[in-house]
Amino acid sequence: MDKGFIELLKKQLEHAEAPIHGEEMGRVTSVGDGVVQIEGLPNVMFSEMVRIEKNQAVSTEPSYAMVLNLEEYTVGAVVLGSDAAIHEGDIVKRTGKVLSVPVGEQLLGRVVNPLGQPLDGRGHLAAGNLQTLPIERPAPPVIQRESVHASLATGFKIIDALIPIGRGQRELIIGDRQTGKTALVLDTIINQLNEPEAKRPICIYVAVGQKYSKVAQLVQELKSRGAMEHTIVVAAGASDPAPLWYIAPYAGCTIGEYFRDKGKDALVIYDDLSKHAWAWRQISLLLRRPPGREAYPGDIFYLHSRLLERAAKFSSQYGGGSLTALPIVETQAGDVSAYIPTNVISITDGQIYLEADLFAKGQRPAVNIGISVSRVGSAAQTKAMKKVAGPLKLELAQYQELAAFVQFAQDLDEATRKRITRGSRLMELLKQPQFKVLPFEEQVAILFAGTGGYLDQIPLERVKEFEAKLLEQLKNQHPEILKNIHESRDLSEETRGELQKAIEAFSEDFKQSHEIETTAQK
Amino acid sequence: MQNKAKAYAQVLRKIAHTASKENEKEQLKHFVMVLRKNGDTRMFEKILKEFERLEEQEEGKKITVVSSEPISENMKSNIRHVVGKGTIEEKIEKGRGAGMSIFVGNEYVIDGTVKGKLRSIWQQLR
Repeated sequence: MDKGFIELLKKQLEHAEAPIHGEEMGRVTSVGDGVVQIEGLPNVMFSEMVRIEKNQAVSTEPSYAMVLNLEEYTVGAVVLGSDAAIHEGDIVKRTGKVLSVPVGEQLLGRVVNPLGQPLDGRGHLAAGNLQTLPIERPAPPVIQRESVHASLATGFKIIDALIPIGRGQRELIIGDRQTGKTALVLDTIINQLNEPEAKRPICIYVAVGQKYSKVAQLVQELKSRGAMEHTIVVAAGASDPAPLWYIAPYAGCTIGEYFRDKGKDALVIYDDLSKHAWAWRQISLLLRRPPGREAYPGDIFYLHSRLLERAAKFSSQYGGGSLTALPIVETQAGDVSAYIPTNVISITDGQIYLEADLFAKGQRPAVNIGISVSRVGSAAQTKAMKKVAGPLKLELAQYQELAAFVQFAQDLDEATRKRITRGSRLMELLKQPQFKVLPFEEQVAILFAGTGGYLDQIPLERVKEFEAKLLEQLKNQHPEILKNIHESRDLSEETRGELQKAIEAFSEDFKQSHEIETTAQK
Repeated sequence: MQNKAKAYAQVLRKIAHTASKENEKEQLKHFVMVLRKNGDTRMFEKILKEFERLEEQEEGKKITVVSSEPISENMKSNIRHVVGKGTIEEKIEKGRGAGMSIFVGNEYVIDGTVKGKLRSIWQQLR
């Protein structure tokens, strides 16, 4: 052994003291299903972490549990891990600390569990500047906040134009299974690459109760697109015990708050809160708390409200940072009036409703714009987007009124037919494949073309081709138009004129090269 | 329910401390009859737990001294002096190493073992 190492150890031990002292303890009286009942620990606090020292013959590694029930003589705690090696009679000691998670820039690009332990096989988190924060923290008070005004671009036309999300907002993504909820948030993370690095939000994706294979696939997609550099993944997998599912969203929120409190923007995605509610129901029932509606405990609303309330936009006086939350809730058979969905809808600042019918018909993202809403609205949109979004909303609203008459198009008057033509092309424009996010200036250009009627004479099946070629044309031959929109974040009269000319010229070329008749078609 | 168990435990304690040897059996029989009549036999375990707690309150907690060798009477009286009243129970664990641990009921432990001291130093170094 290196002599230098021994000298260093001796020096460190010089002032070390080992006085005999007493400490509080308890003993495990029963253990099962991840819950331990402990006798003793007379002064333990709620949410405090306790250490269960197992029988040496079984294991030398202690287990940790979180205290959730304080009764007259016993304490109920949930084990943060496997309870397999815990036995009746094991000694339990207080740690004096509430559950905390490591936070810091070292977490960027990493996949961790809700306790902050790495899962990606890349070794321990780098030590420098790593601090820990409690997973349960109070929400910022009113005085620290300001109203949401900066846009958080998802890269999807349908969302950025019609249901815009702002930095600091809570926007719920709700829908049945397999309707594209995770795909939507994945693309939102990828789209942040279109933001300049200084303004790029840090993304935290919290996977609750998901298959690790799905998480691995998601991480791989992010890595291959270079998005993992600004992303942290917190995963409590399907095989993890319910207490880890329970703490995962709070751990993810705490990691996001670190960046918010430093004046940066962060985005936290909870995928999904339905499973989070199930985990809390399981834990509460095992702790013998009285069940309420659908067997959920009485504080199921508070479970989500205290989590989502931590998303905020800080005023410049307090750093100007923000934490945006995108919670996901899975419905059963499209029932948005069920218990958990209605709870979360009433907490958030809007919802994006994904419908299975629309998905099956090929309208993807399958957003039902009729019942989706963003309560922040145009306050979170750039001026350029506002200018195209207004006419777009109007056209689509008129189209939806007439949508039932689409099949009778031949028997309708000219004005109605035109509206249907315009509306169907706009709906076609709003379709967007996965991993094909668009920066906002391109969205503005294409929506300008759509609302300006330049697509009315293009066959429906050719609309996507028109869109792709128009964008290519603008990027190659008129990059200054997109640059102007990007830099000014507005569509000035001059830029509008230039854009109009470019689109008109392209449209003529497109129609000629594809031998499209000039009469309006369906 | 906890208060009910406490009330039963107090009665049981009274029986244990005041009944004569001849009456004890009879009184316990009556106690069990009352439990059955009130439909409270399922609380029996809770009642026993409360009984133990009441005993501890009066007589002092059970003090368990775990060491690798038997302790002297002098040591026992020192322990009683520090911890307070209670019945001392010795437990010998050969592989425990030097020193001893003193458990006061299920609520407090004084760890004087070498292993405990090393653990304390380790936590200071971390």
